[in-house]
Amino acid sequence: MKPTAATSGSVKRWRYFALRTTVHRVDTTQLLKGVLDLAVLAVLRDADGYGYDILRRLREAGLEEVGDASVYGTLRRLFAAGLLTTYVVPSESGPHRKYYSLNAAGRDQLTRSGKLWRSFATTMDTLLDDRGMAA
Amino acid sequence: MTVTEQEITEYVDRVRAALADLPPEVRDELTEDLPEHLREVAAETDGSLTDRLGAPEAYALELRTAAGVGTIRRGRLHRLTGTARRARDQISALDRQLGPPLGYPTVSEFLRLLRPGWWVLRAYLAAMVVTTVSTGGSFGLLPRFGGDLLTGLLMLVGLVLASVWWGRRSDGLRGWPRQALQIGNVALVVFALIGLADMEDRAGYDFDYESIAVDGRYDHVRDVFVYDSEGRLVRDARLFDQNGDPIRLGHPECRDPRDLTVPGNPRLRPYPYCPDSAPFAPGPPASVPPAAPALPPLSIPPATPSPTATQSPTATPSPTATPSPTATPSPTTPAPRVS
Repeated sequence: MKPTAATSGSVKRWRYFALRTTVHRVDTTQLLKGVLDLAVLAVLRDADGYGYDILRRLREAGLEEVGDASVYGTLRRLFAAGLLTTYVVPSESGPHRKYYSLNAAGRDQLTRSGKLWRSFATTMDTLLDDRGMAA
Repeated sequence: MTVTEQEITEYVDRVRAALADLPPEVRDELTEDLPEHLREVAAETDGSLTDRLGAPEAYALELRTAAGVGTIRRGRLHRLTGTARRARDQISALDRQLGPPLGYPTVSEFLRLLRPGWWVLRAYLAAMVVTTVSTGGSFGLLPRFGGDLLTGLLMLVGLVLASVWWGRRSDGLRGWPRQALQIGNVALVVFALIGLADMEDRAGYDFDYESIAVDGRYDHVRDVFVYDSEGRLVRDARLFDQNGDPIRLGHPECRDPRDLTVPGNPRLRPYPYCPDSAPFAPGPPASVPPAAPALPPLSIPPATPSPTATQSPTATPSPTATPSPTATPSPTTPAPRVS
C-alpha cells in the first residue's frame, strides 16, 4: 500500500483517507509496521551489524517484504530513542561502516516488547484455534 | 554490475531533495550511509536502482516515515517548502542581476550598507509611536513625551543608541528573540506608512488652494465689506495680495442671482457675497434717519455731498452692477450683524 511518487497529491490524500476508513486486509507489510522495531532489536541481540547487514538478516529470517528505507529509518529512530549505540568500523573495501549495537535500554526494550508480542501472538493463536482456523 | 556510480549519485540527490524540508543535520543523518547501501544493492541485484527500490521520492517518504520525522501533513508541507524554495531561488537570481546597475555585486550587499540608517530610522519611528501613545493620537514631526519636546528628544537619543546596539547584535539572535525583533520591525514600518498617509492627507488641503492667499487668523471672517472714503459700500470688490493671488476669505452664505448665469467656483465671487448683510448702512441721505449705524466719511466731504456725482470709478470694477447706495436709502436695512 505504499504510495508511489507518480500519484498526484490529491490521489495520495484519498488513498490516505481510504486507509483510515476501510477494513485492513491483513498482509505482511501492514503487520511489519507494528513489529519492525522488535524485529530489528531481535536481530541485533546476538551480534552488532551495519544497515545493509541488518536488512539482510531480516530477509534471511523470513521478513522478505521489509523495505530498505523502513529498516534504515527504524535504525535512526531507535538510535534517537536511545536504544542503540553506534560505532564506525573502517572498511578496507569501501567507505567506513556505521555499526549498530543494542545497549542496556535496548535489551530491556527487547525483553518487554518480546513478552508483549508473545502474549499477543498467543491470544491471536487461541482466538483462531477456537474458530477452527488452525494453521 | 549494471548500476553506475552516477546513477547512485543521482538517486541519492533525489532522495535528499525529497527530504529538503528537514533540518540539514537530520537529513544528513538519514542519508549518510545511503550511497554505501545503494552500492550493496547494486552489487547484489540486476536492474536499475528504481526497479529494485522504487522511486527515490517513495524511498525518501518510507525513510522519513520509519524514522518518525516530519510525517505529519507531509504533502502540504512539502508543496509549501517547494514553493518557498522556488521563490527563494528567484529572489536570489534577481539579487544578483540587479546588483551591477547599482554598482554592487548584489542588491543585498547594497542594502546591507543601509542597515545603520534603518537602525536610526527605526529608533525615530519607535519614538513617534511613544509620542502618539503618550499624547493621545495627534503628533507632528518631532517626538514628544506627553507633549514635552525635551523629554521626547532625550527619549529619541536613547532609542537610537538602543536600536544601533540591537542592530549590531541582531545577526547573532536566534529563535524567539529574532522573531520578536522582526515582528517589531514590521510593526514600525506599518506605523510609518499609516503616519505618512495621515500627513499626506493633511498636506492635501494646502495643495488644493495653493494659488490663493489664506491665513488661519481670518477663519472667523465670513464676508468682506469694502467702504470707500465716503463711507459707501463698494460692491463687486476683488482683493489680491502682492503676488496677484486672489485673497479668499469667508464663504458665500446667501444666494446670488448671478450664480445661475455665471458658472464657476462660488468662492471666486466678488465681495461682498451678501451685500444685504452689510454691517454699516449706506451713506446717509440727509432726510432719512438711518436705521443702522452709518459709517462716517473718512474725509470731510464737500458741503452738500452728492454721492452719485462723486462716485469713484475705481470702486466699481464691474460695470454691470449698479451700486447706487443713495438710490436705496431703505429703512429696512438690516441691523448690523453681530459676528
